[in-house]
Amino acid sequence: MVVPEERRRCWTLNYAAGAQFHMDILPALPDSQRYQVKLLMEGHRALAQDAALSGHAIAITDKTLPHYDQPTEDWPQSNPTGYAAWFRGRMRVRLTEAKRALSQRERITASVEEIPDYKVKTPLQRAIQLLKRHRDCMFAEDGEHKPISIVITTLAAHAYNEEPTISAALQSILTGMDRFIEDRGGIAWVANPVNPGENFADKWAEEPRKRENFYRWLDQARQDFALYLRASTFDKVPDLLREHLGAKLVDSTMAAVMPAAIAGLAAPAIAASVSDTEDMARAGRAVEQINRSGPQSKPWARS
Amino acid sequence: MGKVVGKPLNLLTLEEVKAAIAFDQPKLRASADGEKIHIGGSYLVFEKDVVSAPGGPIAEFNIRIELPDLYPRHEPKVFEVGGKIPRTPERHINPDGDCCITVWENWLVTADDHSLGSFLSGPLNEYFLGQFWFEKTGKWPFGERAHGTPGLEEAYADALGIPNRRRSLLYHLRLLSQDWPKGHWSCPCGSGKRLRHCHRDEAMAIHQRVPPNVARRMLRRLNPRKVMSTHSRAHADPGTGPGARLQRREYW
Repeated sequence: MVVPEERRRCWTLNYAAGAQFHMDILPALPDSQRYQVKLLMEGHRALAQDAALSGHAIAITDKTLPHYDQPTEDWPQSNPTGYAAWFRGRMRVRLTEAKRALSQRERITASVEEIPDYKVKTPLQRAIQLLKRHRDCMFAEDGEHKPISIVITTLAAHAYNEEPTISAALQSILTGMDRFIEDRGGIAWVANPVNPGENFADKWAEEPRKRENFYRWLDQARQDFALYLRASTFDKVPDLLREHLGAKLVDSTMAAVMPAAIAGLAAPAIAASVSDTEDMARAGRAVEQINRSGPQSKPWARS
Repeated sequence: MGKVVGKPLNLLTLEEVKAAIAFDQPKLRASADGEKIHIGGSYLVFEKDVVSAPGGPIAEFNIRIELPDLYPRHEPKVFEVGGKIPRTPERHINPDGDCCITVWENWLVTADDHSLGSFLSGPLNEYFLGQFWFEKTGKWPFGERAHGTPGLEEAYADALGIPNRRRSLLYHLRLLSQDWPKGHWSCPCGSGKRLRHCHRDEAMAIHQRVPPNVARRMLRRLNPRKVMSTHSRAHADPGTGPGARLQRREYW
């Protein structure tokens, strides 16, 4: 076995040469009491009293601090379990629904509560995967200053409202995620939801490029995903989205899903008239929906 | 309530406009030249609440929008610039492509959300879906208003929830133009009694829905000068008559 490599906070365990994977192991001690007292002193009573959100905080190692080999009050704190609980809370409805669907599909007799979270993926999780993939491809050349995952994940989870589909989740997230960046005395603040004093975007102040890159990425993601979802047919992925999700991956995925879709289409001339009828049918449904909820307007003319 | 008048008027910023179109209308672009914000590009027509349809949008129209500084108090001007809609009066479009989306004050009174996003997905979607529908069927799916003043009267009477009779409409609007409906005015129902002893509650209910500034604007657009001329003539100086005062105050 290769000897683990000591880093600032964690130990990196490299897999056998050739496999391009590693595992980071972070030594930690339970430290919820100190964490909750700190939250109380900062005025976050509700958080401090919520066992799920703050009852599993830990103290972690950091070799740049003196006496880090002795467990003391100086150890930095972290709360990954609390964050995960918060994140789960942002998609509770869809998580339960996905587990119920899984148990029906697989004829699992266990109750929904017994199915572990990792067995299913919610639209929020899928949407975040897509956004992170988009980010990775967009910043393939500039990895150092790309928007970090915890910022994307936190803002996305805030903006998500239990939408049932990935496209609706992307709509909500991309439209609204930047509204959850606070302005605290001129400092852009992406608060850790289980430790509001911690700013996930703390590096933006010292490195303006990180902030610029975040907004550049958000603009691009909005445009790329919206042009596909809103303005294109299912079989035509716009060039920029294709590039920003990885051309090879997009092509192979489309090739895999298209035969079924293409089978439904006949010769081009017929296809055109089919799509014309389809447009009318959709317009008919759209008209009916509006008439049901009451139209807001009627065309008029000034003279 | 008192939606438009009650709120401090925040001018729309370019950022807000961009945010409103960013995802929902990805083929529109917003830009600012000095003071004015312009939106241009391709407007996509969708079913309500549909984020993405496998077949793409139902229809697309090339448009240009001029946003007034005082949106939503003042209405945005929308032009169809792709030449897709024939410039005939029956299509509710002027020869220069100016689209007659709806009677603005009617929308201000009947809709709760006057954000730009709400306008784009509400009246604008209805107008262009209607154009698509009319092209195919020759019918307006949500009805249409008469052209000119009769259409205005119809839309205002609808917004107030009263029968469409010009005299009564104008009287209601004068009543509603006051900051508070005057109890000593005679009741609009024609009973001859004072409002406070007759349909006071009904008038207050309409007042809640139709803020005075909107009522004043409706009144001004109905151009009631002819009706008021009997009043004005009684005053020697036309600049100080009640009609003139009303005219000036109505400019909000």
